[in-house]
Amino acid sequence: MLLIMAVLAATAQTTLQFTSPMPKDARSMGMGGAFRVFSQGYSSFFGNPAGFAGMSSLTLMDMSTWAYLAPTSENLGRVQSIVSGSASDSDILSWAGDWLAKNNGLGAGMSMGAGWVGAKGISLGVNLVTDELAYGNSLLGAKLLSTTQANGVLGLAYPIHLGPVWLKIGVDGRVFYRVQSKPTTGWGFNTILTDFLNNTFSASSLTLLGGYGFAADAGIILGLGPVMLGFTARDFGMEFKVGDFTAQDVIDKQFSALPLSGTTAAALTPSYTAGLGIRLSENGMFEPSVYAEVDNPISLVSSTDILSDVLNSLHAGAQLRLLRFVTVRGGLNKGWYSLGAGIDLAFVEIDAAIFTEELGLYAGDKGRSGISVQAAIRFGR
Amino acid sequence: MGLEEEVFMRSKYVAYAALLAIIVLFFTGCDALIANVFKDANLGQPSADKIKELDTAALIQQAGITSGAVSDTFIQTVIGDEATKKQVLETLQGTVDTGTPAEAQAAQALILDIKLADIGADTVMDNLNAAVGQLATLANSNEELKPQDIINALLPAELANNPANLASFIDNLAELGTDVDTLAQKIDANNGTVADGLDIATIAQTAALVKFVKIVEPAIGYSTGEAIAKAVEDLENDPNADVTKYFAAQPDIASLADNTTLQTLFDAAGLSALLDKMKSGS
Repeated sequence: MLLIMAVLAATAQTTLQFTSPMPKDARSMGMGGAFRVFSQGYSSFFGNPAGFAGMSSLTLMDMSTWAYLAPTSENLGRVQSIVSGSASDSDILSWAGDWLAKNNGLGAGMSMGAGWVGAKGISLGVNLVTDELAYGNSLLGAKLLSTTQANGVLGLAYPIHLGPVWLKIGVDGRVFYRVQSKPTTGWGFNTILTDFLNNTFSASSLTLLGGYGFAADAGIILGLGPVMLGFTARDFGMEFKVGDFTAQDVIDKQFSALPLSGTTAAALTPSYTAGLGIRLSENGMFEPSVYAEVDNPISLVSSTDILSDVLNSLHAGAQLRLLRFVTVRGGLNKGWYSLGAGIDLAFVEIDAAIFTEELGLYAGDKGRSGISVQAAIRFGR
Repeated sequence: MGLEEEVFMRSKYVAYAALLAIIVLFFTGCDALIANVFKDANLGQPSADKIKELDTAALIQQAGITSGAVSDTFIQTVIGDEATKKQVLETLQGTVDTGTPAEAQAAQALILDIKLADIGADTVMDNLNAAVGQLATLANSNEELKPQDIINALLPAELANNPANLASFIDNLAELGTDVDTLAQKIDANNGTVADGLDIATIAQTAALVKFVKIVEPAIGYSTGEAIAKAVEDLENDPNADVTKYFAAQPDIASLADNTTLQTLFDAAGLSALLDKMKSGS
């Protein structure tokens, strides 16, 4: 691990640094972005691999979609106008500018996948996450950032019981293929939107980077009864190469357009999360749980204002599962409210959430609101 | 029905009611939910006293000016305390005067953002973002794009309905011309290359607004701000009012395309075609 970190540090100046796209799934977002460290079952493919050491499950399909758009009554009316075709081009341009300025971004994403989490902690999954986000201080200066990553994951977790104390340790290895808009130039969102409205849009103007790599994730959860402490580290990987292509190449040649041997060096930026959780009456008729997680806890050690830094990286959430089929959730995502609910009918699960996430350096500085809907066909939890 | 079964049924109804309440919230919008409890309690916010002590590198980092998204909270904290604002502007000006072209660009861009917020122009810039689509559509149509159209689209009610405030605001905005000129000079000194992470397109948009105000020629006896404020007041009372008496000449919008500051900023943002369109009057 130290060797990998040393390599990453040495190459940081010349290597493009990428962050793995995470699904904005309704379960996590409804709880303020918490539930990464204490993820269970399929969620552990994106959260803490130690979560594989729990109940077994078979997920035939798990699909999440999310939109970065504040679900206010005004915005819902605007969306209705666009869908019904009653909005003019100038309305759409005006609203796009307004959304960018007031919501600190506009876009949507999707994740889909399947996975098996075995009773002995062995897990196998495939998934694809895509996130398309326009961001900027004005429509004129806004960029569209496109990120898509497909992952094949093999995980292993092991539970240890020491009297009243229990421990879960997990690791996973991933092979991934990543496609991303060029971070240095970006795509001009205003140009794309205007060309699209004028029917002059050309996919050949969208240049992309693509390449494959390997990454590893690891995590640990320590528990005493219902109280849990956890830590997860994700996206440790060696440098990989990405090559250029355009969106038009994909339309013309499909998968064969994706480069396998690029020349530009890239690497994933590792991320760390620590958390504290309480889960009562697991699988009972009345199952409450509370989670608090902080991003990048290592940086807090050298903090000069620990209270501010903790609050500005805190995801706190709670959920209440009633009668084993209805769940309500609420949370604070770096101080922003979030709300969610879900229903679990035999092997079909449907969840939804309203969320706001902080993009700025201070609580309440740059909130980006959105909605998320998740549907799954799953046997087990 | 046994007691246990009755409790189960009641619990089931409670569960359904909770789910229904959330679904109703989803479909009726959630304006009240978009709030930050930490900010409301003034937790995790920047401190004016600490900001005052920061050097330029730390100011740039903590303001987020080179991350493409400047922090409104940081800027508001700076302008909320006169001593902090004075000290921060002095620190940044030192870097503008003596720093490398890239450092100077970031420092100058931050100075511009602080001054914009200080005169209340951040609201106007938000309005510009919302109006830019309508203005572009008007500009591309056969309809004449009048200065009044632009002003009406940009001004918040507290300015549009208060001539004295509006006059003061416009005159303060015009004074930012020196700051946008300095930023353009620093980009020229760096061979047209913009410092990493600066949102130069938004800066170019701001500069265009400042330069637009600068080309307005007031009639004798009025400042630019007073002339525009009088014109806005008259037009609000009568959309067909003759406001030419407040101006020495009709603003020559096409002349903006020849402004060297705007040329530098729009070129750097890859938007020089917009200036060309302005020059050709299309």
